[in-house]
Parts: sequence; C-alpha cells; structure tokens
Amino acid sequence: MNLKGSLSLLLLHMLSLGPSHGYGIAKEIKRISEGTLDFAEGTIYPTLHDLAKQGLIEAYEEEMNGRTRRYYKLTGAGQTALNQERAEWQQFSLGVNRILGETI
Amino acid sequence: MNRDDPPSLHHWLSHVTKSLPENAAQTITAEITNHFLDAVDDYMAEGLPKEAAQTRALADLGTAETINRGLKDVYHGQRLYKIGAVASMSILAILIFIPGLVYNLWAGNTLAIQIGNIIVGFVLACLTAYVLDTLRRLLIWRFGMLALNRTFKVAIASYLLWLAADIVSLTAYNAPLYIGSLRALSEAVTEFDTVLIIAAWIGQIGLGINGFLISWSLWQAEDKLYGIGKLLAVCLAVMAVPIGLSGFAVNLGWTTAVEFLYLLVVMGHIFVWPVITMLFIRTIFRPPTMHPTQLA
Repeated sequence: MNLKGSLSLLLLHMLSLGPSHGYGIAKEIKRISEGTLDFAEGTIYPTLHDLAKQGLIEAYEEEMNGRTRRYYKLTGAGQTALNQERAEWQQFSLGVNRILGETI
Repeated sequence: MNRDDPPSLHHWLSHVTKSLPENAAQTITAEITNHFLDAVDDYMAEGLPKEAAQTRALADLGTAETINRGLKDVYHGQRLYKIGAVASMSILAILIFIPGLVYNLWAGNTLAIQIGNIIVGFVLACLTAYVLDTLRRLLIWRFGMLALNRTFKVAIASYLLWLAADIVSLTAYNAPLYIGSLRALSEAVTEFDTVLIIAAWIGQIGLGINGFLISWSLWQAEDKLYGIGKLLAVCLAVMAVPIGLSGFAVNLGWTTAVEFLYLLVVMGHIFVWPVITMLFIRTIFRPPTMHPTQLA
C-alpha cells in the first residue's frame, strides 16, 4: 500500500504509545491496521534514523532475550511534531471526506 | 552479525549498508539482524520450518536498494546538498564575473588570458559535474527517480567531453571558451582541430538529448520537487536543448539561429543555477520524513 506522507506520523504515533524497536513498530502497525497497511518492513529504518537525527525520537539499547535491541522513544520535540502532523492529517482527511460526502 | 545468520541476509545487509558511514552501517546491521531474527522466531512459532521462516522474514524486509537510498539521503544528503547549493551559485558567479575580470586584469597579455581561461574552464567543469551529480543523487535518493540515473551520467559525460574539447581548442588555437568548438567543420585548421570540433559536437548533442530527457522527466514528476519541478525542467531545457542544436546550426551556416540559440543557452545558465540552488535549499530545510514518502 502506498502511504504517501504518513510514515513519520505513523512512527511518531506508535512511539507516543511507548518505547519500541523497529520490528515491534512494524508488527504493531500491521496488527492495528488489520493488514490494511501492508508494507516492506525495512523501509521504516531510514525514517526512524532520520527522526532520531532530527531529535524527534531518541535511540537507546536494551538487552532482551539475549539480544541487544535498539529501542526508540519520543522526545518533547517529537511530541510537538506529532501534534502538528496529526492536526494536518485530520484537516486533510476531513477535507477529503467532505468531498466524498462522508462524515468522520 | 550472528554466525548462524543465513548468507542471504548477509548479502541483503551488504546492499542496505553500502556507502554508509562505518558507525551507521554497524548500527543498522545489528538492528535489522535482530529484526530478522525476531521475525524468524515468530514465523517458527506459527509452525513454519526454519528455512521457510527465514525466506519469509527476508522477503518482509523489502528491497535492499530502496532502503539503502533512503539511508544515504539521511546520512549523506544534508552535507552534499549544502555543498551543492554553494557550488551551484559559484558557477553563476564565475560565469558572470570571472571572464571579464581575467580580460581586464591581463589586458593585452594573451598568454595570461589563455591560462586564466583554461583555469576558469577547468573549475567550471568540476563545479558543473559536481552540481549535476549532486542533483542526480537528490532526485534518486529523495524522490526515487531511478530512471534518471543513466540519463544524468550520460549528460555529465557529454558535458565534460564538450568542455574538454573546448579547453583543448582554447589551448591549441586560442579560441574563446565555451564557443571555441562552436565552429563549422569547414573552419577546421588542422586534422586535430577537426577531431576537436567533432568531439565537442558529440558532447553538445549528448547534453542536448539527455538534458531534454531529464527536463521531460522533471516536468512529469509526480512529486513536484517541492513545487519547483516544472521551473527546473524549463530552465534545464532552455540551457541544454539549444546546446544540442547549436552544432547543426553552425554547420548549416544559420548565423541568426546560432545567435538565438546562444542567447537561450546564456538565459538558461542565468536561471538554472539559482533554481538548482533553491531546490537544494528547500531539500535541506524539508527533511525526508516531512514530505510525501513512499513506504512500500
């Protein structure tokens, strides 16, 4: 599925629910969307690393089941960016739904 | 990397981390290896045999080249685009100010002017090739315009061939820079001069055709390149297409057409470098995650 413009929003939102690693985030997006958002899981890494470079999320390592995993958590700046992106998305989807004659 | 990891994952990761800084490559290798192992565990828990689970987990990760392009944009993009913006404006500044300066500083000293022009030509060739190559990387890494890869490379090679022939013409026959090779074959002084004119002509045609193809792709770009895709397409076309046509006009003796084409080339140069700079600056201030991104 083509998710233009929504990847950073999805990742920031998932991390607002609590810290997670790449596999956990990908799995949760697929589970919550009930398979609607089926995507190549590796494509989330460039965006995760970019969000970390921008300071919107923070990476740290933690050992679990004998494996050192790289976890990410949302920063204050990330929360602000999430609020802004979420508002933009809601405005956009509201406009589209109005055109399609549907209600949210 | 775990010793038990399948060779296919190792191969896949080598493509993902290609040309990335060492530290980033190590982090990503460890991170995606764990992602892969978690996925294999989950598939095996669902009842799949180990080999099938590994194949499926690897397929779920997607195409290594796509991820590599995204990571290169994250780890190399910002620095490259900043240098690209400075280099692009430097080209315009050199084209406007330096040739006049050289002629004024060493008025009457033919040798000094010749050496000055050769240096200017060399610097311009390096800067132009750098800016065009950075633009190629930006369009591929950020906007996924893979089809332009070869077109850009041929355009850059054609430009360098043209300018090299010009610089040699300048050295050997004291011809003016950029238009030294813009002569009819009948005007060739020696056989070597004929070779230079033909080489420059091939370069001009190559640049014209590939410049047009790039412009056409930019005009049609779905992503709009931060709103300036069409403007860049027009500027590139105005600069490159007349260059491709000029050799024909010269050899057919169409003096007015040559002058008109030359005017278009100059106009294209005046506008294209600031527009490319604008694209680099917009790219720097709009990180990849804050604009339409293809997830799949």
